[in-house]
Amino acid sequence: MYKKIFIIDDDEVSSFLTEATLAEEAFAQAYECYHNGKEALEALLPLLQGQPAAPLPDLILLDLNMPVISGWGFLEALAPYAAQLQGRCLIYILTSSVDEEEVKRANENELVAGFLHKPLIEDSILRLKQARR
Amino acid sequence: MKILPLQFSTLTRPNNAPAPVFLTPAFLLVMNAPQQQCKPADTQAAPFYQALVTHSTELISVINEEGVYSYVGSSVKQQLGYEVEEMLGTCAISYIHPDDAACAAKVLGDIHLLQDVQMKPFRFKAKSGEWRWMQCTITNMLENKYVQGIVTNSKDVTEVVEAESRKDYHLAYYEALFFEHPDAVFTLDSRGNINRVNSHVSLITGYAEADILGCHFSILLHPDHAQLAEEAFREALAGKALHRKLPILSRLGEEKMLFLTLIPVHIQGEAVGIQGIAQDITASLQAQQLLKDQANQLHNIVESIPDPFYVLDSAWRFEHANAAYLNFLGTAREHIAGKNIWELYPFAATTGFYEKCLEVAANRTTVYFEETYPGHRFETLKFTIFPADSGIAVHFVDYTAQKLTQLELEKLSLVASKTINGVVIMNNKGCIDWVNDGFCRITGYTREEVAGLAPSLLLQGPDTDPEAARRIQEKYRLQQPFSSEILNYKKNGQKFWFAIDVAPIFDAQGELVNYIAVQTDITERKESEAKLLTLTDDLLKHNRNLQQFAYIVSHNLRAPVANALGLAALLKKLDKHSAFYDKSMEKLQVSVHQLDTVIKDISNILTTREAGGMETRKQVSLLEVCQEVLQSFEEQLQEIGAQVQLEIDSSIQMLSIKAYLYSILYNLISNAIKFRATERPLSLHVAVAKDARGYVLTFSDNGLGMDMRQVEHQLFKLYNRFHTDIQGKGMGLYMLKTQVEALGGKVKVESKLGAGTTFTLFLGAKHV
Repeated sequence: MYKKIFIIDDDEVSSFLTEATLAEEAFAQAYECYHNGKEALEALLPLLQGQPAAPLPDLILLDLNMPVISGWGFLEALAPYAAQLQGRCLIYILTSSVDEEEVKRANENELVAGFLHKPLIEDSILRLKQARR
Repeated sequence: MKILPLQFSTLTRPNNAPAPVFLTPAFLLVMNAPQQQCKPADTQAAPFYQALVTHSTELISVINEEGVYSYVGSSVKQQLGYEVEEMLGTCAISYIHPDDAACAAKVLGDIHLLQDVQMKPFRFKAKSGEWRWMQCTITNMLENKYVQGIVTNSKDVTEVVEAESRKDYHLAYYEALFFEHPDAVFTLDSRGNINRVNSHVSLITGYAEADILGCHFSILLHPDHAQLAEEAFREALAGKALHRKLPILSRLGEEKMLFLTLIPVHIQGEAVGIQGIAQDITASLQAQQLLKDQANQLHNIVESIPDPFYVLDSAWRFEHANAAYLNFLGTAREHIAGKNIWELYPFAATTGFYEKCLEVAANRTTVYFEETYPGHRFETLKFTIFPADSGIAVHFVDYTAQKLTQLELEKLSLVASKTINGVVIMNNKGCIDWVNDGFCRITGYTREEVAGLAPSLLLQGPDTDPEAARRIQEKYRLQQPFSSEILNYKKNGQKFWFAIDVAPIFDAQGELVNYIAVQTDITERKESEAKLLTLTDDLLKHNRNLQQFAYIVSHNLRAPVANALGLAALLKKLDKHSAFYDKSMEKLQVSVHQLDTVIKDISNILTTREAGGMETRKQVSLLEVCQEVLQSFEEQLQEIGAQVQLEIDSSIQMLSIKAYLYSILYNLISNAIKFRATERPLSLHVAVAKDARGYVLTFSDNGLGMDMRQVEHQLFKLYNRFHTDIQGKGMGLYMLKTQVEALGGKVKVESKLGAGTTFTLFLGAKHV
């Protein structure tokens, strides 16, 4: 079971659905939702910059198409912390896009553990569970 | 001619001096002795005298008072061939030569007054009829009683007289040669001093005879050649007659060239001087030189003719051929000199050239003609044949190349006049000299109409690209060849496109003489190009739209679909009576609603794009549209206390689509209200200005503003949003851009975070 999951998505319905679907599966202990990359970074960067008061999320579900700071912008901002994140925090893209270009681009990014299409179906949840072990 | 050496003493003896040989004292002694011994007459005396007289070499006779022989010595037989008896009683004068008779008669007549007379020699007729010269002394013995007559004592001096006369003869010859010689004749003594000169010496040298006699010959000579002259003198003196050419200086300083003949004079084997003849050859030398120069000059002229030239004599033999002709034949002068041309080149005798040569030789008039020899190295020759001396002279040029050029020119001129393209020949000022039929056909102008005009001024018109026209003018000015495409006007005002190739033509000195322009009507091509461009533009637009559509499908359409799917799956698992089920159902409704909105948006966007090019445009007042939009926001604007400043001239009318302008302004005002800064009242400024290509609408607010670096690539994308706390779906600016582009314009944004945003809309040339 995941301890803490970040759900980063500007689409309120989608966030609701993701959280509800995972909760139904008793997937994680805690869920935190952010509406864009900027909000998520504001929460995550202090944890990475040596304030161990709270633990890092062990899974981030990241949407790509968001205002202010998109999913790509978020990944870019995390690039300097790749080593810290390695093995401690899995980042999965979760998007409604069916654009193959984006899949390809995501696979080239070393921070990205996998690419999932919305909505989260059972196969995807299984993949996430297996990745945890 | 050789002059015999003579003794100086002989030369200088006076002409009439008596010869010393005539009567020697010994002879007189013999003559006188018997006469003195005559006086003691005795009986033995008669035979003694008889014998003496008979054998004497002299002839003694006695002539009586009547002039008749009364005694003739018997030696007459031996000396003159007469018998004594034959002569006795005959008249003495009758024997004497008629020329001498008068003189002899006078001496005989005068004898009375004298005792003895020595007579000049006279001619006496011998028995044989031959005249003999006799020397005679007569003694008057008329008073002597034994003699009673004139005693003649004669001697035959024929040999002596004749010898004397021969000497006079030689001297006369020599004197004539010396004095009458047409050249200067002179003698020098053994030291080189001038002894004698004839009159020509003065004529040639300019010195009087007296001035130079006794002087050394060197005073006459050109000082530069004194040495040579001295050597010649020495050589001649040594016994060798010789010739020399030597220059002298006359008294007036004039240089003359003399041809000298120097002959040594010897007396008894000893050289006593030089006799010389000097011929003035200055003039003949000059004439010779002149002749030589002229011949040389003539030769040079003939040789310098770059074209072949030769002269044939009356028997058709080569008399002269210049280098160009030899070069043309590829032979040496010695191979043709003196040879008959028809024998040497039998082919020539089969040509028209042969006929012409015969014609010139017969008529003695010059002919000009051209002849072609197909298949020969020289295909066409152009001849001039003219009579010269006894034969003919031939000059010709190889006209093959010119002939070819001429033919090519004819062909080119055919091309230029018959081609469907326009061909224009301009003078060096760029004004038309000539145009071909093609030009007239394309432009509709006649040749006469365009003569003297500049093609650019004639053909270009208001829609001609001024930049292209300027480039063409520049090329003309730089005298450079160029190609260009330009919009021109026909005489009837119809527009057409010309592709022009213009080449400046320079003469051998590099001076510009002409421009030649070839023009092709490319109107059709230009039109299809323009069509192609529109087509490409349309395709590009469609392609962009398709990409955009794919993006919308993959993102904006897919998102609510994915949510709906997810929620549907979730709902199955949830308790239908739980609050969470209701909430999920509510979310499902939202998702389906979103889906509907997106589909409507897509439809709206596609309609706008398609309609942009087709919807009919009407005159729209910008101010009116703006006021209408503000009207619909009036309440909201009042509520937030916004200030709106309009700077739009009411007269500004645009040919446009009102709905789009409305939508554009609506989106701008809506955004300005949405993204206003809460700490200050909103201030809007809307202005329209006219620029070169159309109208420029500026829309400025003092709202939140944006970090342009962050948003510049995202701003106008569909469903892109930058403010999470402010409502919006990211459709407004995308629609705005779509509509502006549909109207043929473009959008520019300037913004500063915390200060405000300015949108500049360029509503293109199509609106004017």
